[in-house]
Amino acid sequence: MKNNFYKTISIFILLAFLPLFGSNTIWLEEIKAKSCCTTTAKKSNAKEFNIKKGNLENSETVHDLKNAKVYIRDMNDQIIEQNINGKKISFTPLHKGSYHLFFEQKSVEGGILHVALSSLRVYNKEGNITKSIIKEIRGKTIDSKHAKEPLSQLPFEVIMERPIRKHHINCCLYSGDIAPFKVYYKGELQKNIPLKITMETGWTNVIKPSDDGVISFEIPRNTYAKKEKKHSEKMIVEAIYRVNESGIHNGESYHDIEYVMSMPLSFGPSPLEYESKFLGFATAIGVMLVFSLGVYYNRRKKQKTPKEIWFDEK
Amino acid sequence: MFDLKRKINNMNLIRFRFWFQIIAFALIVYGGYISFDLGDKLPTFACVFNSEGTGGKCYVGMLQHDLKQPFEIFMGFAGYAFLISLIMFMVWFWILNKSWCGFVCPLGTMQDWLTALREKLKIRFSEYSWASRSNIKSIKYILLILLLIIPVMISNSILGLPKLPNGLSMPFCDICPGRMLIPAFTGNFNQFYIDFSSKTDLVMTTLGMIIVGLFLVGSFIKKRFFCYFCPMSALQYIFSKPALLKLYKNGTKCTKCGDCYRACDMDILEIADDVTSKNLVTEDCILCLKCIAACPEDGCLEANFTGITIFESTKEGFILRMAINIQKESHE
Repeated sequence: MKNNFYKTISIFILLAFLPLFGSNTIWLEEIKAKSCCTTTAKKSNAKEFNIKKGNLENSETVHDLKNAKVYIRDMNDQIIEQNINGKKISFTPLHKGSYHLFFEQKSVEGGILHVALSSLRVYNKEGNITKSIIKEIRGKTIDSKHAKEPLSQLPFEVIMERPIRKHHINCCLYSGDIAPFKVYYKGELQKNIPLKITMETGWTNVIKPSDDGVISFEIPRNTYAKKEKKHSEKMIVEAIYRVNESGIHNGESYHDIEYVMSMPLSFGPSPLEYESKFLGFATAIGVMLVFSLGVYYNRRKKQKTPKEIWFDEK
Repeated sequence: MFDLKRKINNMNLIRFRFWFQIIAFALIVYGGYISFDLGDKLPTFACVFNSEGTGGKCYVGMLQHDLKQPFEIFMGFAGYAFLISLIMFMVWFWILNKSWCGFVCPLGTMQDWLTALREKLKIRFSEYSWASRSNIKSIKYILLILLLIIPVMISNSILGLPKLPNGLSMPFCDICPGRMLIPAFTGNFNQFYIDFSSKTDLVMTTLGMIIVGLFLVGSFIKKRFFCYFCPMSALQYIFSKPALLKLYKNGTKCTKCGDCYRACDMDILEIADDVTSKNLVTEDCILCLKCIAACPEDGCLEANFTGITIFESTKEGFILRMAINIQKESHE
């Protein structure tokens, strides 16, 4: 009872400070080639990413990427560390499949070491043909989108487990799906770090983990969104963890470390908004009834004894 | 060795096939739960929409996906990926030939279960009229051509025609009864729906629901009702000549008694009529091997794998199987 009281108070405090919470949020965003230029410019498989800062409505691109690192994990769990040159991240995936990008940037401000972290899943449609043959032959068994082990290079990480889907399409996230997350610190599952969710439309919430450390929430439906199947909305899930640990980073001393990990995700409108299951079942059952009756009457007609024909001899 | 061969030739094929089909069905529909995965180029209906449970995926789905590429991309990596997929499909197919339909296909197994249910209920079966057979046979080729052309026409303008809407990207999957029925076996009925988001989706999903209704009733009254229309069967037949498993007939031993024709679920007349051809895997054949089990002549029909006879018709096997049938009927 007392525990619950403290938990409620802490949630209220968190909600009160929500606008401040996450002011250091950064996230990765893929730079999509414009449709006009895809055929000419996109000769290679190179993918480019910007680092964004702020909130989803008014974000700005981060150009100062000093002391930043990127880890790229492929579907075979091979990790490549990449230093960033310039203002954006670019890499050329070799294989066809899912890649996970992890961004890390450290800076000391006011005696606190800020560790800004972000991860993003990217799907590569094309790839090196010779490398792909083996993958094509052995199927998709090694390619998993979700629930990988925490990356040993990152001290703090948010991982999305396989979502619980209420709808029919299994490739993407949809409103109404239940998205489960876990937060890890130095490879250990954390059961007391809440997750902040921010939608593109401005809706925010802070969710506590359950007793087994899973933070799950139902992706809310956007009532004001266009009722289009292809409508896509962004959201960011974010976790913050502060540790009382002192040290020196690039000649500047700090007494605390603050980890901020974000994960940008996109989701579409729930198929339930444009689908009718009732009519689906009704159509199938209706067809079955009509077809069955048709067969029944056709067979009954065939079973009838032919009428006798009397010739009028007159 | 001789004893083993004799045992195989005398086996109760109906019972063997029943259990083989159950195991194959379990692996393909529930295999995903135990991390069983045969990849996504299978020459059988292993449904991609059964996302949690599927132990492999149907090549028809992959084929439609591969073909939905603009020409300039298809001429590059996508074209190679398409060729690799096609080769993988052929390799899988050549192992079992059309036995994929007769022994592995979950939709075929469902149809056999519905037939068994009808037999238990003592309701008589229906047949297609001989006049309509050739028209029915051509439907599967029409479906195959459509499922090959429609995805191409989504990304490309052919002969100056406008591009087709994206809702048609998986035209056969939209109408395939496997999309609704296979996930239903894992308790997932989410595929039973009508999509109102666009005219194309509305038409295709409604058509899908109509075909599910027809499939269930049709398979109940007609053995292997859907297999006559199956575009996978048409695609398989194109590549069936070099397959390793074959159905051979020795015409000189055939007495044209017609037992094989009566046993055939697909009503293939050639099996009894044709005494000149050696390879009798026809376009509708599902290689269920029931014709071999029903044949009373020694060595007239045989299943041959890479030149080795693995199951052949024998007088002894025929008599033993007849005895089992008579015993079963007397029990009923």
